[in-house]
Amino acid sequence: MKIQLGLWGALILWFCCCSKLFAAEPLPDHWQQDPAAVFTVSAPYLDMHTFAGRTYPIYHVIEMGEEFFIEKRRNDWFKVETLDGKIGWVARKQLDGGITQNGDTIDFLTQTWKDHTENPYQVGLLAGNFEGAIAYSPFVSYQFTDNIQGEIRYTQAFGNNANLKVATASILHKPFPEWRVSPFFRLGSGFIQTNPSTILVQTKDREDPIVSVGGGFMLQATSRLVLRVEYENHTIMTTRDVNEEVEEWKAGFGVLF
Amino acid sequence: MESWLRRIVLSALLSPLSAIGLNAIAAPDDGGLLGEVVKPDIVRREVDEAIIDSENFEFGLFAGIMSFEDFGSNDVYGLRMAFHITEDWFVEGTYGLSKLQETSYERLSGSAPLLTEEQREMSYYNFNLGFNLFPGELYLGKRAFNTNFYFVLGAGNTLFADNDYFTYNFGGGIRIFFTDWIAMHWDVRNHVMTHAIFGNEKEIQNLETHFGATLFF
Repeated sequence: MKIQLGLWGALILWFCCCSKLFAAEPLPDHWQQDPAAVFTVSAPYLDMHTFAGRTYPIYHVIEMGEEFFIEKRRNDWFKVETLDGKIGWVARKQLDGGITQNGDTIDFLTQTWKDHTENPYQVGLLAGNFEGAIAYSPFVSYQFTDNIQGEIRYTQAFGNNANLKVATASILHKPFPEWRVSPFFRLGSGFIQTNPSTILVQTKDREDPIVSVGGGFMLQATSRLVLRVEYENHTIMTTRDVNEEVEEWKAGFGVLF
Repeated sequence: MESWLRRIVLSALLSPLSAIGLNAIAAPDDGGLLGEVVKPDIVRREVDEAIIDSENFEFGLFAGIMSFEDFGSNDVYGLRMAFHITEDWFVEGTYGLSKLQETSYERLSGSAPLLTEEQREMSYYNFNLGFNLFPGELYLGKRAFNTNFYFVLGAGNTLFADNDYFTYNFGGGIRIFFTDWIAMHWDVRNHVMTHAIFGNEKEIQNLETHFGATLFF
């Protein structure tokens, strides 16, 4: 009698296993084409938002053990699809350490201000005061080492009597690149073009070499955004007997790439 | 004599610096005894994010009306490019074109026009920093569209009457997403600049409103 019960039990168990096996659906085609984008949830759950932002409502959760597919990313949000076809956005913070692939825990490196400090390129804009005139300067810089950065910038200043255009190349030195608010020093040289306003007596445009020395502070605001304030002292090598000294104050931002 | 003296002075100056450097290298980077005990032995694999398509750039066109002080309200059209740094912050560059009308003075006095036709061709460009302030949803019938209300602030250049004018601009807008990569914009901007075309310096405020469409890629 006992053996018979045992046999029945084994049979039922076998049926259960079979039905479980048959129930497992094959993965959708686009998942199979891109298996590197298929992950399994290992955290208790993942919140799915309706769109890429923390304020958009959570409308679904992906439970532990469920598989999902990452389609694309916007900033720190990932567009995901579940097996039953639900589509939503999950934050990087939740994915970091909360998912696995082939048994490995996946590091989604939560981005802090430190993560992009070694990005070589920075593009940005500064605006301020160039010896009393309003001025702005777009710039591009390249980071050679943690401490040394090369920068090319073009400044346009709008004075009462003249418009100025300055193009300079300079070297920046950051003595403490690991600080979030990091001081820097600058040495540069280039050309300044002076275009007197047309209302005054017509005079010729002048072009003179310029050398500058300066410094300031950079603040790593978010992972890619760098805010900065700076001061520069320019010496314009005029063709006259005396050189001119010009002071410049600026504030602005740069984006790291 | 001088060179050996310099060597002594330099080495005296450098020795505290090198000591600091050595200490920094020798310093252990774990959290002491506890750090050793509760060190997790889970191996984490870094995700290769290059395989995930990212959509942080936005590019589009816009058209609207710009009221240029003293020179009438005129059609304006242009293009816009943005990079979304985080979900909150973005940087943006815009370029716009417009054509200025005659001033009321020119029309009423019947005298020679102040500007030639070519000098009335106006263009501007600016670089802005933007902040998404009110992310939300907008409902139209049974459909819901994701939206962002944002503020922008920046500086640039206005070119007209053969001259460049420094212009700072600020404003806001709403971005309505039709899909997650197609968006429609409605913007209001104020361009503030100073010119001296009428003799004296004059600060003018040029208000602009436009509709636009952008794609994320």
